[in-house]
Amino acid sequence: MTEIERYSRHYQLAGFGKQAQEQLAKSSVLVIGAGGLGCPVLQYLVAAGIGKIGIVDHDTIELNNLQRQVLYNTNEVGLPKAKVAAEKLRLLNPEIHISEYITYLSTENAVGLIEGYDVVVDCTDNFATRYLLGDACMLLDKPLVFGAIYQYEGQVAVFNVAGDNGVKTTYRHLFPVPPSQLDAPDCNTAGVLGVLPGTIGTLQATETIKILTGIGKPLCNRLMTINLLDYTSLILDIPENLSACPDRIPKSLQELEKTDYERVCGAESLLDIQTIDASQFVKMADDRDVLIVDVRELDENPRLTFPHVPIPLSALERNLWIIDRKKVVVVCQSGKRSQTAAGFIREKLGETYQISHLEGGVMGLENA
Amino acid sequence: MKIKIRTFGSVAEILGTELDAEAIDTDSLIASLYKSYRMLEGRKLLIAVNNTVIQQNTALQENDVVAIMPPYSGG
Repeated sequence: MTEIERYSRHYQLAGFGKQAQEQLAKSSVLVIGAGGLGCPVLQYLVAAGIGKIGIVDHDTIELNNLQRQVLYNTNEVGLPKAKVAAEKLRLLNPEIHISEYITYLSTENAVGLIEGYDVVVDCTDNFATRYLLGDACMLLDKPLVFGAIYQYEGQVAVFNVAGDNGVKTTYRHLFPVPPSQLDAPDCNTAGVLGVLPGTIGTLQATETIKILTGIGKPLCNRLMTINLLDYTSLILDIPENLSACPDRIPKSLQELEKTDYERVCGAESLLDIQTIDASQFVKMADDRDVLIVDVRELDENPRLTFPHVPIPLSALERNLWIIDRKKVVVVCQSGKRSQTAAGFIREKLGETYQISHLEGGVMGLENA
Repeated sequence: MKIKIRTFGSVAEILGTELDAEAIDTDSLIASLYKSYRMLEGRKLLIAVNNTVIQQNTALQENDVVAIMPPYSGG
């Protein structure tokens, strides 16, 4: 009886009704990522009465998440997102089954997790996981509801579901080759309007409900984009004759398990980057042919005491013209950003440049 | 052919959201953009002509609209 009361507005809804509601109760959905996109997706799917929901997220709640991840409270900073989300969602709807997986999606666990669900929703925030998820869903022929955001704009699509012509497409039909993370900065570096993932996540939840109940016309073989600043929106057709770059896609689940997605996504350009240690660095610092580039932000200390050019990573792209020597050594605080920046410089400026980065960063230099 | 370019995401920061251009096909259009805007070089971009995604070089007609879109990674 409470069920009838709970979903009464769906029962009353023309074109939805008891049949569609029962379909939702029989369905299962796996949501990868419980962040900006994942919060609204989970809230609406749980409220809608999807029978079984899985939440995959390894992260803990941070204060800077709360501007957009509306499922979490300030006193929950530091707690695992998947656990907190599952607890709250059970209060929202105790009549459905919710499982939380506090883990990364990896090549080892992807197939096992995905196989148990009818539809997967991509709420991830990095390319390595997006490509892994896209390839795994393609190989398992699992419907995937894709969403991605950048500052004020979002993209939504439905993959691995046949359109009117019987054809299924994937993310690889749009971007066959993974870009590097610097090509498409994430929310941490580029910022994001807090309500944007709310809008895009709500569209993803809508598409999920449409696929499961058969209502309306989901975005199969189409990519929708929307810009919140002026509400310009565009729907692109993804034609069937496109190649999904088949030589790059794992052809079997065994091949998928062996693919290093972290490396494929952006690390390609790192292959030619030399790593140097503190003693090699000190020698190179005296070489007039070598340009030392410090990619730390300008307020990070200690500053370097020898000739160098400071180009913060956040401003690297528009300042590449400053690099006027063929031998470049990139440094940062710990050696992580310098590796990313070195790969980026290598990719943008080409093979004629000899790029290295300082392992362990300026901190390692201090200790040496 | 006089065509219109619409851009999205980080590409709009480089080119502006809308611009007019002249090109006979998509390959020559992209090549000339790479030449004029060095920051575009090496980018993985999705190209669509009149709202249909393309991968191969495509001939352009007068008043065609070419969309240039980068992948978004945020979630």
